[in-house]
Amino acid sequence: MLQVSDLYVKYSMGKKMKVNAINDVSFSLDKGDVLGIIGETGSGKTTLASAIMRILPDTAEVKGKIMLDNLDLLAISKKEFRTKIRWKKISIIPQYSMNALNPIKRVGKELTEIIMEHEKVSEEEAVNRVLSLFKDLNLPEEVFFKYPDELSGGQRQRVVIASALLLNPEVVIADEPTTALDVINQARVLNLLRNKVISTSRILIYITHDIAVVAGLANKLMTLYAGRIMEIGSSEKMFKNPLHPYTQGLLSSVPDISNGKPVHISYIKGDPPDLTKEIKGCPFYPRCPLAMDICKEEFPEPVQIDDRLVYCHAVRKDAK
Amino acid sequence: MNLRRFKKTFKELLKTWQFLLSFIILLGLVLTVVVGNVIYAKCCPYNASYYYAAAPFARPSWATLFCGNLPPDIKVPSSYNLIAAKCPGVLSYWHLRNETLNGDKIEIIWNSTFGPCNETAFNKNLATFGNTGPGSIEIKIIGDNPVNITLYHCFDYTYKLPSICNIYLMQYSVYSNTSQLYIINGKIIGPNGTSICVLYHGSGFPPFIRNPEFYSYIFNPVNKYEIIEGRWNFFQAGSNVPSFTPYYYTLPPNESAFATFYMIQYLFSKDGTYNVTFTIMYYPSPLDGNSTTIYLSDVYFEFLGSVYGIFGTDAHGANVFAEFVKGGVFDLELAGLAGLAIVAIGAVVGILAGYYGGIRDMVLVSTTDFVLLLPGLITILLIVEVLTLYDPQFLDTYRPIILAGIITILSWPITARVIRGETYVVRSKAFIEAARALGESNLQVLRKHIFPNLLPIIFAQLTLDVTAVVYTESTLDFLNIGIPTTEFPTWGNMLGYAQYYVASAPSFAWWWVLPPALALVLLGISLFYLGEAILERYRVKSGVS
Amino acid sequence: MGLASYLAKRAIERLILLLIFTAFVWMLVLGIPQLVGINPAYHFINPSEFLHSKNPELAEKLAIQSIDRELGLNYPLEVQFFIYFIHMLTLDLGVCPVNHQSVAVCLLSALPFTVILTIPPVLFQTLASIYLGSIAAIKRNTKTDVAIMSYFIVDYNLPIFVVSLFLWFLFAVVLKIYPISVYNEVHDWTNIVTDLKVFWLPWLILTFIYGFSTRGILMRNAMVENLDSDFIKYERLAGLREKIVRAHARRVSIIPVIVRTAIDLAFAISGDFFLEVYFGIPGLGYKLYYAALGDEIEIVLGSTFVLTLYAIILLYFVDIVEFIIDPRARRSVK
Repeated sequence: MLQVSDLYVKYSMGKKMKVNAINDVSFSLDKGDVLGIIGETGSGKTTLASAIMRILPDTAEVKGKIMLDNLDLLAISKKEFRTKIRWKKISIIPQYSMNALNPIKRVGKELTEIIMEHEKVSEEEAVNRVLSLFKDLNLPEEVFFKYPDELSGGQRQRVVIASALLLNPEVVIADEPTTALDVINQARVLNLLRNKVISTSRILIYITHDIAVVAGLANKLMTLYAGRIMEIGSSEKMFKNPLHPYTQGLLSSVPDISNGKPVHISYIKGDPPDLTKEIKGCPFYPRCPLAMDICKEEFPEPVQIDDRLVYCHAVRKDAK
Repeated sequence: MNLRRFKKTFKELLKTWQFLLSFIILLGLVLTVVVGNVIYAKCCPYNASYYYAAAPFARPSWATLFCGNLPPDIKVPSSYNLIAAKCPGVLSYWHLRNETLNGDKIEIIWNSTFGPCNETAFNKNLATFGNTGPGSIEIKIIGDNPVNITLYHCFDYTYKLPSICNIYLMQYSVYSNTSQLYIINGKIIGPNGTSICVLYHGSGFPPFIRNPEFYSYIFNPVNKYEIIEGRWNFFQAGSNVPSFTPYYYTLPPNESAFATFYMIQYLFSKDGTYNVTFTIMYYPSPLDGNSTTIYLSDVYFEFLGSVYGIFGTDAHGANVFAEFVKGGVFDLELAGLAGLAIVAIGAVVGILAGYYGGIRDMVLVSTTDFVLLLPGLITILLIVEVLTLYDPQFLDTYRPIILAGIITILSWPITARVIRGETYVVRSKAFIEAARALGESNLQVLRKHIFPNLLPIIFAQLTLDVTAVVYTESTLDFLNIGIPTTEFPTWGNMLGYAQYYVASAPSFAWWWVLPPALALVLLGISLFYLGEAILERYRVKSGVS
Repeated sequence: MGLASYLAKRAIERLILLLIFTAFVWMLVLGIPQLVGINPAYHFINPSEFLHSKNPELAEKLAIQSIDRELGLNYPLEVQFFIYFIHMLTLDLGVCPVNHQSVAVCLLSALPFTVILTIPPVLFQTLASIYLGSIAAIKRNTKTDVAIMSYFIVDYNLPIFVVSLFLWFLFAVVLKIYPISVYNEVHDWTNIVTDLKVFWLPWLILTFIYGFSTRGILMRNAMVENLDSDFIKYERLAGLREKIVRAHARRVSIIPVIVRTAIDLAFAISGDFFLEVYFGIPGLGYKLYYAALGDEIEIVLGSTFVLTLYAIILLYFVDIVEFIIDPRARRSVK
């Protein structure tokens, strides 16, 4: 079980400037959960993933708790985190998967090395494990002896996914893994994630700004805006009936081609707020169609509707 | 180019400390060289007539702060005009007056119309002669009794013992039109009564007036001791050529080898007041009439001290500061001209090759490969030596131009290649394509878009090329392949020259070596940072990492 | 394109370069003078030698003819060049007309000194620049970085003659632990004691001052770039230990440094030319310098050719090495 509570991340830039990248984020995930995190660029999605992986730069200041099976990931030392958690418990498929492999190392060697770093196994066994994983992921065996430059984009992506599954982690974070791929490879990768990650009752956190991708994958959805959760809950209900005006905006900006008619695509007017300034009320207030006076003054308490939490003054319990 | 934009860029650049510091250093160097050249416009320190401004290896005058109380130059009289008796003040300076001695009447006046003339070429090459022209002391002795007339002046010596490098010399010129006997001697008399006779000349040496001590001096055929009547006689002697002085012949044989040393050390062994005296000993004979006129001029004593000027002196006692600024002019001129030439050719070729590509590009790339393969110094050595072998006169006449030319030819392809690469990057940017699509001609695109965008790179390349040119040329001078020390100073040949003498110098002549060495190093480093600052700003502005 | 055809293509390119360069030097020394009507042979005779013979003019003429024959100057120009080029390629470098010594023997005797002078500093320098460069990159923007980079930049801009002058004075004249004149000390390179006595100062200069900085700066910049690169971030992410991660970054950054080292080595001999002349070490550069000053044309031509040939072979070697150590280069060829 992964539980994030009251997480704050601040980047200090220069002497006095501070960027409030993540504000008061809490959620919890059980085994088998797939959480889709969506939001605009700069909404703090990657920062959240980095905070969980503890790869934030030294200038970042983190507060709060990230509990993985009763172990506070933020409280343990960096070394302990590296030896006990990384790849063993939590792994990540980064945004830059295309360039994630060492250009002067054979792919197989690189993956074997990761296994041997974490577990005391013989090289032969490690090689066998990598090869069997390759087989699982439909990667031809000769990929093992190739250099990253010699692989196609889809192959590289799959190697990185294989790498993330090397040590059977409980949590896999996928940070926009399909952005750089064409549609066919995208579908392949998604399929792979569905079969290899979700079906094995791991936790998957899938970060994207492509709502369509997340729709078929996630059972939970979270919309993030200016480092704050706007709405979180079951994806099915959120897609059907988005409550928060921001979620509504995001969803309506996706063209619906199912009924074959061109529809008017709406988009959210305005720009995301300047995060270097302290925002007192709801950060979405300037762009919100339902804005009220109170939104300017204080950030709303969460409102529970079915199994979702909505952070909005305009949404009341009786609004269902 | 837009002057206002240039000013703005410059102000922005000045905000980075590297640029500011480099700029100040460069400005300092250039100003020193320019101001120095105005001051020493005529001085040519590698020419023998500018030797002995002070003793060889004299330290800079500010070095007395830590080298102790070193003697400076001492000159009697201190002003050059008085030497040649070119003003009436000379009479009171040497304490001369009309009087009657031994029954002889002596009239001394300053003669403004009659003075030394017809110097020989040898005399002209000596350090202090060369002040011919009207003006002399006219001494008229009426009577037939022997008299001594003495010119004297004192100076204080309160410094450290002089070293073997220090030199003193005495000189005068004399004219008389008489067959009367007279002897002139020049002496320096120290505070403890020691005296050293430096000059001893006479119109004749009949036995009754001979000083037995000076026998071997007088009868040494090498010495021209005799004053010849009816023309100007120029005499000079000093510690640097001790065998010209009578003192040398009074030394015991085992000491005469070190006469220079003894002449200096014996004399200045004590602090105190020293006297420079010139004495005319007149031995008249009634047969030759009873009136004699003797004209004296150029009466002078000089002690070359161990401290001099801003940067001291070199192995020949020439002014190092003058050498430094003269060398700087050549180095900076060469750097500027050759650097500009390299960058100009490089920019034109590089931009054309990068912009048009194709065959131009191929030719450029293969030329660069070829030039990169040429070992620079060795190629220059080869060309210079082939020219020495087949046409030395041509080489000697145009040496600086030939050197600059070879360096330019060897350097431009590399610069061109850098600029070509950058042109390539700029050319493939969207705004160039847009400009082309708008129907601008190639020439317009080059002028309005490509060239302005490349300016920072070109400037940065200029800073690198200038350093390379100066260092290459200096290495050549240092190795004696470039400008020789017989022509004019450059920073490179100053170092080579100093290097040649460095082992024989009494101590490491740092004041001679450091100025050109530091100037070269500072020039290189400050230009490097200048270029870096320009490039850095370019990278930030254009987003190239 | 496979390895073989790539290497063949490079070999042909390098060979053409060698041809052009040889032609250039020959034109400079023998070709152009003859074209403008100067017979180089005139510079090898001493006219005063013939004053005592019965017919000075005839004697001089005969002497010139014999030198003409010796240098092959009696053939037409194009034939001369052809013969010259064949001789060079077969490493038959001829006999010097001034001191009647075989050029090949003369150069061969000089070669060990140059090798001893060049190789140890290059090796040490490369290791040290890799080490310092990577430290500077790891401790980026700290005082250590600034110190190391300043050192690189300052010695990049130190003229070698200034440094040599000061160090030679310090060690030879002041401290008297280095021989004032080296030339008399080293005639036998097999004597290790005199070798050490003579070579330590040039080694010191070559190692710490000259030629060091380019590779150091290269290493530092490559390392900075690679430490920030995605694959290194990923390795850290995957939980590899920092030591291993850095080793990997270093391994990638070394590639350009090694290529650069080989290129530097190709030109090191002409770079060491100055030190050989300055300290009087009788290596190739020294021979070339004094041959040029003494108008010994055959030695000049021979040693320039040998230096160029060596550089070209080494550059070709660079092509091969780059191919072997960098898979990316292999791919770009294909």
